[in-house]
Amino acid sequence: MIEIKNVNFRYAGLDQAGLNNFNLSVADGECVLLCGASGCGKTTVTRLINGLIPHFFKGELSGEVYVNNLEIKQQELYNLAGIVGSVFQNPRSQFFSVDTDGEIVFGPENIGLEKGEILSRKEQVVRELNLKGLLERSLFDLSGGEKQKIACASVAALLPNIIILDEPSSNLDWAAIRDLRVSMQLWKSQGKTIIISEHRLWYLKDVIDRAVYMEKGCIIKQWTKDEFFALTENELKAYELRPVLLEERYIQQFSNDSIPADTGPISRDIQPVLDDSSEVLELSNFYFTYTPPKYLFIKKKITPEDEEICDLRIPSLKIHQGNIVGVIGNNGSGKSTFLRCLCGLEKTCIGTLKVSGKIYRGRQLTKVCYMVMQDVNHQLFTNSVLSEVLLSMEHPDENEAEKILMSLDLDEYKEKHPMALSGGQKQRVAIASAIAAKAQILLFDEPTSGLDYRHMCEVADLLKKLAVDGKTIFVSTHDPELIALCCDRVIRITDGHVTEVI
Amino acid sequence: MNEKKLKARDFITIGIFTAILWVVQMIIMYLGFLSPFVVAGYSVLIPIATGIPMMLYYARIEKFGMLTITSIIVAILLFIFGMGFLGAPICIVSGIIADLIAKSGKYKSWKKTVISCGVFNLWVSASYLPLVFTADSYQQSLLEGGYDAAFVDTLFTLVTPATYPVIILLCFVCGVIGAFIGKAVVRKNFEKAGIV
Amino acid sequence: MEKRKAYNIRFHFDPRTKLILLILFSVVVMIDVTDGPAYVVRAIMTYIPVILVCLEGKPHIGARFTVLFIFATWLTEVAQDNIGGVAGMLILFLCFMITQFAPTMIMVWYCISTTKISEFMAAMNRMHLPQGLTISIAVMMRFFPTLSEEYRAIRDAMRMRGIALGRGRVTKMIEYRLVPLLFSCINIGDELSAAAVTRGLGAPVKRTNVCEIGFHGMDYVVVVVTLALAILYIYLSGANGLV
Repeated sequence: MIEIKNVNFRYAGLDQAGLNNFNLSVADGECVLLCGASGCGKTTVTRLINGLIPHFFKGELSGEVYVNNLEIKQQELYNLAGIVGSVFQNPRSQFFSVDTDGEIVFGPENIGLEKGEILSRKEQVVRELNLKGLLERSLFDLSGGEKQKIACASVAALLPNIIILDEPSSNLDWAAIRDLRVSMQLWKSQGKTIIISEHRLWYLKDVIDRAVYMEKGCIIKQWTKDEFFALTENELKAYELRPVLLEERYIQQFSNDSIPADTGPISRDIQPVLDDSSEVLELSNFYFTYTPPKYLFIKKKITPEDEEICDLRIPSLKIHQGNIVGVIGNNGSGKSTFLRCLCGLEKTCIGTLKVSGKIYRGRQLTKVCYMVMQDVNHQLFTNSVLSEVLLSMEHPDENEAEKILMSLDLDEYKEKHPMALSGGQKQRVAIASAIAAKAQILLFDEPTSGLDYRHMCEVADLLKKLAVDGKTIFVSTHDPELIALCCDRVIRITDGHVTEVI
Repeated sequence: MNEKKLKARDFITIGIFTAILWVVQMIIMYLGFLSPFVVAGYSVLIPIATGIPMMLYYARIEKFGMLTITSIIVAILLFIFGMGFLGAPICIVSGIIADLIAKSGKYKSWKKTVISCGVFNLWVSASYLPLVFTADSYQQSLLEGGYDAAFVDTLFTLVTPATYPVIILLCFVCGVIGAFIGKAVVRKNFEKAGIV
Repeated sequence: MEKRKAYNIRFHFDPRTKLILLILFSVVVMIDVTDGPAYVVRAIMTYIPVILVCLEGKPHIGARFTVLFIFATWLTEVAQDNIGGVAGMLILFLCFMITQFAPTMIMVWYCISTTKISEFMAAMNRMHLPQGLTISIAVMMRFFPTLSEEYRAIRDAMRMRGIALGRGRVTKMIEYRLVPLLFSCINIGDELSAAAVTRGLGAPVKRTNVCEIGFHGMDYVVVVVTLALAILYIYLSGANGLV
């Protein structure tokens, strides 16, 4: 039983969404979805329930929050550990141990349970969540999906009645999201209460009982499960939520290797520009391996004949200039490797790229290609947006830089620190520096993970605009909606091979 | 932060910043592999290079015990890496004193923070101890190892028991300089971004 | 981006055994010897961690080290007689550092890479060290790989921008690396803390430790052997008049 009464909350010193006179009650065993645009306060609600507010995030709090008749304010976080479990967004930063076994028993060890009890819980959780294959592994070697599974297990081992998930699917591929759904269904069948805050909605169809829509720290609307999934595409769009049914259909289509004939081509807002007169970029011999054969100190240089051992094997690929190419595939299939090789970050990759008659290889690729990384924080170096753009220019020119910022709607932030901006704005700063560096080919590594519908549409519009300006774009993504919105072509990477989808 | 006592979250922050400090100083130590002159420059390079993380560290916790724990961990690591029995106590003592100084300014007073940072950096002088106390045998082994006599002489006039106080002073001064540089960077970046 | 293999531990030493080994090695590192019987003992000791690493299923590291070690020793001999001046001195210094510190480095690497966080915490607990210190060191051990992951991502980003060398300015070179790294570390630290405290870290109860630690036959063997060698080494180097 969760009871939130008349809560007002404002973060101290943080520019994050607070709550205004917020009321919510959740019955035992209920599964509630919190949805709404980023900044609507849904993460704040999850923090009220797991006690991170007020014990971890400080701020002005009024009102009352009860969980199982305990007032959160008067509890210590460690008392709540066995009652409320939390799974967070970023799988990389939420584990404490280095090995999987240690991580699963971490919670129960902390609260000082008996050893026998802990071991039997561990066994139970491993059995229920089917984790046998992941035991005795280093967490640093696991994929995002596997890490998230271990995070779920670690939380479940505390046997909480309530489980909170805060955008758990952001960094996962479709297969991993389906696994996450299985875990949630299991918890539901065990009678646990689940609160989930999420942008991706398709996988929650058979899980949730109620959907709560929030705006600016208030609840605007609530639906039952049936009402919610009966909403039409346009109604969902009006609430700036992702289209549930559409997403699911795409995913089914993209997940299979063969496209079912009866579904026909995917509807698109734009027609592919496959003008034969436009220039063609030619990728050839993109072969690369992370584990080249070694002779003590010297690594063997690979050739196309070494295909078998390669992690990436693309003999040839032709792309029209100005196209937007969607790159799909499961995590670990070679998507990121492909992008890394293409922008010259893997110097042992032997591939060459032919642009306007010039051939680029190895490190030279960094001159024509630019990648906007998934964690864009890594590529912001200076202390103002303007200087960030100037840094990329061979001959710094402020007028030119301001023009670029203007075209990306960033001019009003030019004196701000890039790290003080929102995720989408940071992305645009990275794009601005790519344009300033005169990159012709832009690579995007999952630009929409963790974005809400409106921001996703903004990204799509931006990509289209860049394509019109003559940039060729590769975008790796797990969001089918993004592909439908802007991609001219879709390639799938499986096991390092490229196959064409559309 | 209202509570004065360190909590689990603070211990995690301490671990992270100590890791950063150690990595930064290890990189400089590695540079020392290339040339003995870098070794002689440790007392300048390390305090200045660690200034940025140190100032951020002061701003992140502001509770008594942070520097003490860091210095204990650094002492353990120094010990393992062969800086020995004398280095470790120096490191811990300077850590505790630095912590007390910062505490007396409630971790808010800029003057006290600067002095505290200078004192904390005295641990760097510990890495010279093997050079100072085993100077004779060290010198001899260098010479036996075929080093240029003039060079060995220069090195050992730079680092001797007599100049040791100078090295200590140098660590302190550079710690203070590092604090100022670090503070400038923190202001320019982290305060501007609203993180601190 | 080498992928680390799953734990494949042949000898499962107690973390305290590793600590004793580390202390003994640090003593040996402090006394340096370039020839005589003591040097032989030192070379034998150097190979203790190398053999342990090989037994971990990583013989290539052992092989690489052996080549490096022999090469450095050989180069010292050659450089002493043939290369003079500054160049010779720098080479000698580099070789000296390799032969001097490499055993400790490889030992530290071995100890950190084979100790699970939970084992380490259990050992600290047995030695009655305060929990706060234990948490800090445990986080530190977990954080080294994270730091290197983050650093690699930042270095990649710098390469794409062509600013890896800071456009020729050392201060920029340092700033462009350190500032984004610190931003990342702060974020990761906050997320890690939130995840840890919601799972009860810091509870004022005696923490349970599930993993089995304790001294077994091999622990005693390796400690006794290393201790004997260390004592022999100190005795021999003392006899050489170097201490």
